[in-house]
Amino acid sequence: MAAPASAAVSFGSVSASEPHDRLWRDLKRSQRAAQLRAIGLILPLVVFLILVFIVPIGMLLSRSVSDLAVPRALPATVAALAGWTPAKEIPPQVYPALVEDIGSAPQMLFGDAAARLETGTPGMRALMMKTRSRLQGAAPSDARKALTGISPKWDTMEGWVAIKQASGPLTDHYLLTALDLHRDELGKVTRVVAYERVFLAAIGRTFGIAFTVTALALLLGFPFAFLAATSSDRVSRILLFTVLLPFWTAMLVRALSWSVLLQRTGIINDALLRLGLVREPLDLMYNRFALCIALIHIFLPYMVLPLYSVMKTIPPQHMRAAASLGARPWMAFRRVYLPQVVPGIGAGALLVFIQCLGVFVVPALLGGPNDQGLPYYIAFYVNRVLNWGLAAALSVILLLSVAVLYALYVRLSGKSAMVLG
Amino acid sequence: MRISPYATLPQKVGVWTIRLFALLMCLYLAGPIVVFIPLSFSDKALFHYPIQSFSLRWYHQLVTSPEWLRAVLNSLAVATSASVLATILGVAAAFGLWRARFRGKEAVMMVIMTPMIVPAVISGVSMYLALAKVGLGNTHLGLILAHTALAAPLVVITVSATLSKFDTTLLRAAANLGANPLTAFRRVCLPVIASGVFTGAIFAFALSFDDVVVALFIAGPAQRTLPVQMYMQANDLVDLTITAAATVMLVLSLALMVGVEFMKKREVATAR
Amino acid sequence: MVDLCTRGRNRIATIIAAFLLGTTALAGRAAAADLTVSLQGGPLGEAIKTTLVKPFREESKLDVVSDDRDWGIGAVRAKVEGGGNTWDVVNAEDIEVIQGCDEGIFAHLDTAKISSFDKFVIKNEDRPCGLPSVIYNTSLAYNNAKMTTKPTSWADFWDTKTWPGRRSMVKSPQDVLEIALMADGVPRDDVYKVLATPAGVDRAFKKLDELKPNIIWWTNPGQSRQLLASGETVMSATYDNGIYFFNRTQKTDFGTTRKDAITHTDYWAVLAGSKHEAIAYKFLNYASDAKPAAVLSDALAISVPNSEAVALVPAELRPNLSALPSNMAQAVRSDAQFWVNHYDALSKRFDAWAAQ
Repeated sequence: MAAPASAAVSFGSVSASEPHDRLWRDLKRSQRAAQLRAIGLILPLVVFLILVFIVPIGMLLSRSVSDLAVPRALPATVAALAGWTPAKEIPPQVYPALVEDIGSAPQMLFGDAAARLETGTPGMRALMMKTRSRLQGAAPSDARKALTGISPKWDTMEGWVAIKQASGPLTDHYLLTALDLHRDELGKVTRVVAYERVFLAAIGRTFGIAFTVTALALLLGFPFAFLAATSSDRVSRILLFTVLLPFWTAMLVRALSWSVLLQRTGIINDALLRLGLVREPLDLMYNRFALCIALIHIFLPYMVLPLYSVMKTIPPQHMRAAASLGARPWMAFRRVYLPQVVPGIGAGALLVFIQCLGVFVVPALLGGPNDQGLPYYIAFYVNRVLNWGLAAALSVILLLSVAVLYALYVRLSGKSAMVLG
Repeated sequence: MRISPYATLPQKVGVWTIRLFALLMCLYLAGPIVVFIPLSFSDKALFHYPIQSFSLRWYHQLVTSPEWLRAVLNSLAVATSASVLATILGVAAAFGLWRARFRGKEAVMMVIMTPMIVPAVISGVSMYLALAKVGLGNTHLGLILAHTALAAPLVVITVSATLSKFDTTLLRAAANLGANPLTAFRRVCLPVIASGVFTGAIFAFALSFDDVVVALFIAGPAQRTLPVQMYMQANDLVDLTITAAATVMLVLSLALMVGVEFMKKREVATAR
Repeated sequence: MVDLCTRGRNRIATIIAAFLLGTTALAGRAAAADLTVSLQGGPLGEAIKTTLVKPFREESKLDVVSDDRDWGIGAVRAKVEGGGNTWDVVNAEDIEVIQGCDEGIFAHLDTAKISSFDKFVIKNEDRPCGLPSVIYNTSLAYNNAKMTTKPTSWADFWDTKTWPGRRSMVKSPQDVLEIALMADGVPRDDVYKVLATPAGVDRAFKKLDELKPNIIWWTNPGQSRQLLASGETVMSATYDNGIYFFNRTQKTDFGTTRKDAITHTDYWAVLAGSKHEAIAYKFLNYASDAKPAAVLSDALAISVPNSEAVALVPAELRPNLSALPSNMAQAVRSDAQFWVNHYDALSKRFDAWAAQ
C-alpha cells in the first residue's frame, strides 16, 4: 500500500517547483475527489460491518452489566426500595407497590423479571409466579397481609433483598457469577458454595487445553516445518499439501473423522480387537485425549505455515557458517537458527492458542462433560437457560482474553490480520 | 533429506528417524480426513469396517430426504449469496483502502478485521440477538448477512494482497487516455486483480459453506445448512447420510483448494 | 474480458434477485395459510405432519401448513417478538407450556370446546394453556439379546455386579435426579418432595457418584438406542416409545421396565393473539379424536391421551402404551412445574458435578 503515497510525494515536489497555481489547485481538487471516491468505496463495508457485526457484539456485551428486567416490570417496587438497606426494617410502602406492579406489569416483562430474580436467588421465580397467580389482579386493601398470606417469604428479607439487588440499571451480578462469586444479603462479595463453582474451573480448563494443544502443536509442527523448508522442492510440496489438506477441510468434517476413528466401534478399536491387542474396546472418545488429538490435527496448519514461511527466509549458509566457525550442531541450532525462528514460533503459537480458546464444535462432538470450555457455557446459557446476562459476562471474559492475545500477535508478527504464510 | 554416501551410522539413523517422523505426520494429517469416504458407500446402517457390500443409498438419501436436501440447497444458496455480497463489499473496500490516505485508517482496518478475531460462538450469539430484534432471526436473509460480515474481511485481505503488487501508473495512463475512474477500474485494474477477487470469493464461499456455529444460532429449522444438519445428526450413528454429506463437503473443499492454488499460479504468471 | 465481467455480474445479480424473491415468496405463502402448526423436527414432528396435519388439511379443505421450530420457549418467543409471527398452534413440551403460559405467549384454552376431552386419561389440570397431545415414559431399557436375567428396577440399573457394563442417561438433571432417588429407595410418589429439599438433592448426587464411572451421557435419544444396539451399554434410561419404534424398524429385541418409569406429556398450545382461533380449535378437536390420534399412536409407538384410541392400535402395541391405566399406575408423573422452578440451579450443580 506504499505505491499511492510515494506517487503523491512526487506530485507534490513537481508542483512546488512550478509556479502555476491553477494547475496545482486543479491537481489538488482532483486528488481530493479521488480521495473522497476512495473513502466512498470503503464506507459501505465499514457501515455494513458496524451495523451487522460491531453493534450486535456491543449489544451482547452490554447485557453483561445492564439490569433492566426488574425496574421495567416492577418500577413502583424498585422506587419504594430506593433508600432501603437490608440493615433496616422492610419499608411498609413496598407491599402496596409490589401489588400495584404485579397488577400492571405485562406478562412477558413480569416473566423476564421473575427469571432475572431467579438467577440471583433460587426460588424467586416460583415465589413471583405464585404471588401473581394468587393475587389474580385483585387489589387487596391490606397489601402486606395479602402478600405474607400468599407466602411467609414476603415477611423475610430474602425476597426484598433479591429485588433490591436486581434494581438496575447496572449490575455486577453477571460478571461476579462468571467468576463464581456473588453478593450476600448485606452486599458483600463472597464465593458461591463449592458445588456451584463452575466457571473458574471452566476458564482454567479452556486455557489449559489451549496451552496443551499449542505446546504439542509446536513440538510436532517445528520439525515438520523445518523439513518442509529444507527438503527438496518435491518433498516440500508433498509436505505442504498434507498441511493444506486439513486446513481446507471443514472443521466439522475433521471432527467427525476423528469420531469415526476413535469410537468404541470405530476403526482404531476395530483394528486393535482384530489384532488381538485388546480384548475389550478402549474408551478413546469423550475425553481429553480425543479432544487434544483432534484439536492438534485441526490447528497444526496454523503452526506449521507461519513457521515454514519464516524458516524459508533463513539462508542455509547461516548454519554452515556457524559450523565452520566450530559450533556443534546443537549450539549452531540454538544460537543461530532458533533466534531467527522465534517470530514464527510466537505467531504460530498465538494463532493456535487464540483459535483453541474459541473452539466449540470439536469439544461438543469429541469431549466429555469435563472437557467443555467457555464457548460451551456461553451457548448453554443462551439456548437452554435463556440467561443472556451470564452468557454475555462469559463472552466478556473470552473476548478480553482473545483481544489481549491478538494484540500481542499483531505486535509480534506486524500483521493486522490473522493470515497465514 | 538425502543421505550422503559418507554418513556415519548415527547420522543414517537420524535421517531415517526424520523420514519416519515425516511419514507419520503425513499420515496423521491426511489419514483421518478420508476415513469416512468408504463408509459413505456402505450398504449397512452401522459404522462398521470392513464394508461388506457397497451401495449409493446414503447419497440417494442425501438428495431425496427432505431434511437433507433442504440443507444442501440452503448451504448452496446462502454460501453463494454471502460470497457474492462479501466480494462486492470487500473488493470496493480493498480498492478504496488502497487509494485512500486519511487519518484513522488503522482504526478502519481494525473494524474490518474484527469478524476474523471474535470467536464464532460470540459472533453467533450476538448476531442472533440483534437479527431477532429486527425480525431477521431465523431467516435466510439474516444468515446471509451474518456470513457476509464474517467473509468480507477475507476478501479485503486477498484483494489487498494483489492490489499491493499492482502498478498505479496504469490507472493514470488509463485516465490520460480518457477513461473515467469506473471504466479505468473495470478495464485496467480488475483484469489484473481478478485472481485476488476470485480467491477472495472462494474463501468467502468456503467460510459460509463450512460454518456450523454461527448458523447454529441464526438458522431456524427452515434455514439449516448442511453443516448444521450434520452437526445435529452427528451422534445418530444409524443414519450414515452424514458420511455421504461429509464426503461431498470434502470433495467441494478440495475443489475450492485447487481453485485457489490455480489462482495463485495464474497470478504469478500475470506478474511475469 | 469486460464482456465476460458484465455478463457474469448480471448473472450474479439475477441469482441474488431470484433468491431474495424466492425467500419472500416462501414467507408470503406461510402468512396466507388458514392455520400454521409449528412442530419440532425429528420423528415426532414428522409423524404429526403425516398423521394429523396432512389428513386434517385434506378433510377440512383448509390451507393448513406446518412449520419447523427449535426446542425451547425462547425459540417461540423470538418468533413472537421478532414480529411477523405466522404460527397458530404449537406442539410443546411440558416445561415450554408452563413458561409460555406464564409469559402470556400461549392463550388459555377452553377445554369445553374439545369434544373428546372427557375421554382423556390425562387432563390439563394445572396447564391452562395446554391440551395433552402425546404421552411417553422415561424407562429403563435393556437389550434382551444380551442378558439372561432382566433388570426390573432403578436399583438394578445401579447393580453393576449382576449386570456389568455401562449405562446411558440423558445429560440433564431432569429425569436423572429422580431416577437416582428411586434407585436409592425413595418411593416414586415422594420423589419430588425429597428433591425439593437440599438434603434430597445431596442424596441424589451421592447416589449418582456411585454409578458415574459407568455412565455414558446421551444428548439425543437416538444415541441411547444406538449405544444399546452396538453393545456399548447394557442398559439405558431413555424414552420407551423410541425403544419400541426402534425394535420395529431395526428388528432389535429391546425390553423396558414400566415400574417407576417417569411419565412425560407434550401439549398442544395456541398462540395468544392467533387470528385463526376457530380453525385452531377445529384442529385440536381433530387431533384429539380417537381415530386420527390412534394413527399417530401407532406410527410412533407413542401414547395419546384419548383412552378410546388404545382399542384402535394393533394388539401387540397396546401393552406397551405408557398411558394404559395399568402402566400409569406403576409410573410417576414428571413434575414439570418443579423443573421450571429448579432447572437453573440444579443444572448448574449438575454441570459442575459432571465436569469433576
